[in-house]
Amino acid sequence: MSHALEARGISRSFGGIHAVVDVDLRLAKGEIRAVIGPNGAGKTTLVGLLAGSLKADNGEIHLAQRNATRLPVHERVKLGLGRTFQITSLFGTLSVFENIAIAVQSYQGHSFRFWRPANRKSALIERVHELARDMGLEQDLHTPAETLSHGKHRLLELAMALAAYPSILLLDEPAAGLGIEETQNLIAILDHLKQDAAILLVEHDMDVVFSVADEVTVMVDGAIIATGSPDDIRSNQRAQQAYLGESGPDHA
Amino acid sequence: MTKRGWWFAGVMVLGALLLPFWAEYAREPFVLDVIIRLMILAIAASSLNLILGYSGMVSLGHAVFIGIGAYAVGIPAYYDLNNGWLQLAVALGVSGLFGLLTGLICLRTRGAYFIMITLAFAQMMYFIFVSIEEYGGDDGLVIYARSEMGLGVDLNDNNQLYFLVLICLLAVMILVHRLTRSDFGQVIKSIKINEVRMQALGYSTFRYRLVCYVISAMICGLAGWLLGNFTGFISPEMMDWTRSGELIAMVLLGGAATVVGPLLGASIFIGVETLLPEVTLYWHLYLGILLIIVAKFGRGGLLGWWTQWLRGTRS
Ligand SMILES: Nc1ncnc2c1ncn2[C@@H]1O[C@H](COP(=O)(O)OP(=O)(O)OP(=O)(O)O)[C@@H](O)[C@H]1O
Ligand SMILES: [Mg+2]
Repeated sequence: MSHALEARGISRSFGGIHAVVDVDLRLAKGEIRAVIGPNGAGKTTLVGLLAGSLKADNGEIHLAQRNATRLPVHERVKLGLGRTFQITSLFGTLSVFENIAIAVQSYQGHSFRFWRPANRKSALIERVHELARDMGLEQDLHTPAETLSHGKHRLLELAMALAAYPSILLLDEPAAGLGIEETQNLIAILDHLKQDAAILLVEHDMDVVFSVADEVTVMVDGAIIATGSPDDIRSNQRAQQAYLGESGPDHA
Repeated sequence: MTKRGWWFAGVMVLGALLLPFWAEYAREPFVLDVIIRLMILAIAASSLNLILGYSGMVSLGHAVFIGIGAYAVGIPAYYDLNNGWLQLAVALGVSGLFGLLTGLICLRTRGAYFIMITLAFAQMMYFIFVSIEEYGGDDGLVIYARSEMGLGVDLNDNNQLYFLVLICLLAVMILVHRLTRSDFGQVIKSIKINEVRMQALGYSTFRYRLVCYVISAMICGLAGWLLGNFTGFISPEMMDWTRSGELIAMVLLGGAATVVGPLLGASIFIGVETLLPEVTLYWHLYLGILLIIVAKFGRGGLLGWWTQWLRGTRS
């Protein structure tokens, strides 16, 4: 089977800290792979390496059958990669509409136009509304992003990542800080998304992990210590000790 | 822009159109000179605003493009090449090229490094021109003939030069207005807010910032071309970093990331420069104090205060 994403032996250290150590990973369309692990395990660093915002010290990364190891972030997006950020990363002073629109504009590809006013093309407006509707943000299109609730920040974050119809999606704790209803909504969205995409889901919320993941990878101290189906992981001794046995991550 | 804003703009343009006739009638030709210089500085400040205000990059070397534009009049004129269109093409072309080459390097840095490296390139040009004895070196170069534009235009007539500068200023302001609201402008403004996210959305942010930098450089080159014609003199001092600092002051005073701000800032600058020296030798000091007050209390510059006051939120 061909993989949408394949990482071979990637590593990255910061000074003396080995944040990611010799990680192998494969991800196919239609699959959700959850990556779990305690705080500081290297999950966000892994996402950064795959997305290209961090350079790997070693190893290779292939996206859509292409060697992407040395490609910059925006070139990887062209290969179908989309990501969200653990720490919400939006355009705070711009409206929700403008936030989604700049994402859609990137996909629809008309950014070297200098004269006509932006955000007037009907194809763009339609797509912005569609994304907003999917995320339940339609009522908020004209509010500045920074004034939204935390839960809506997370949804906007996701809406922007989906604008380009990504075939590989890296989600860094999308459920962090969501309410119960919002979390259920997110689970439904993820289930739907995986039809067209390979999804890497970094998540602390075990309800989300065990209800959507097809495969679970456990990271500790930068290395993968276990990988398997959700049931395997639930019964895996080392995973238990490293992570699940704890009373849960101390996440606010 | 609000309806009131358009009215105000209309009145200003009308006033600007009538000014030369008033100056002649009142026998105050000096006023025309002041306003010409004001408008040229406003063009330069508008160009800086594209990178400082809209893209958030503080360049301490922007005046180098004024120098390039002015030498594009002076050096050809030195060889009796007075064709204005040729000079203009050289001014825009060389400014754009210099912007492109230095931008390729400068734009890889951020913050204080960007300030230092733009300063370094500007000082480099400064010293290059100081060392070229042929073109007057330190002493500068007198430009004996203004650009010849043909089409019945004679720039030796101060009134005609005035209208040319006015047209250029209006064109630049309209350009900045359209540009910053276009697809491209939306990208530039978003990069200023969150560059990392823009990359994650698939934008090659470096390319957009570079294009913006080159456009800004060319507009400033235009200001230099006008300034060379106006002053009839060009010296390396025109590209000194203190000149760049004055442009920054104008943008921040008037209101960064607004179309009218640089014009307002240039007006304040010219006002202070023209009036205060009669009262005190230390007018630079007072300008500095004014700048600090604006920087501290109003991030939108004086234009920001004014619009807030119009909306009644600060009365
Ligand atoms: N830019 C950086 N500079 C230095 N150290 C870093 C940097 N980024 C991450 N680290 C370190 O690398 C290790 C892995 O961090 P990372 O953020 O990837 O963990 P994580 O699994 O995402 O944790 P969390 O669950 O808290 O989000 C940590 O020890 C962290 O302190
Ligand atoms: Mg993390």
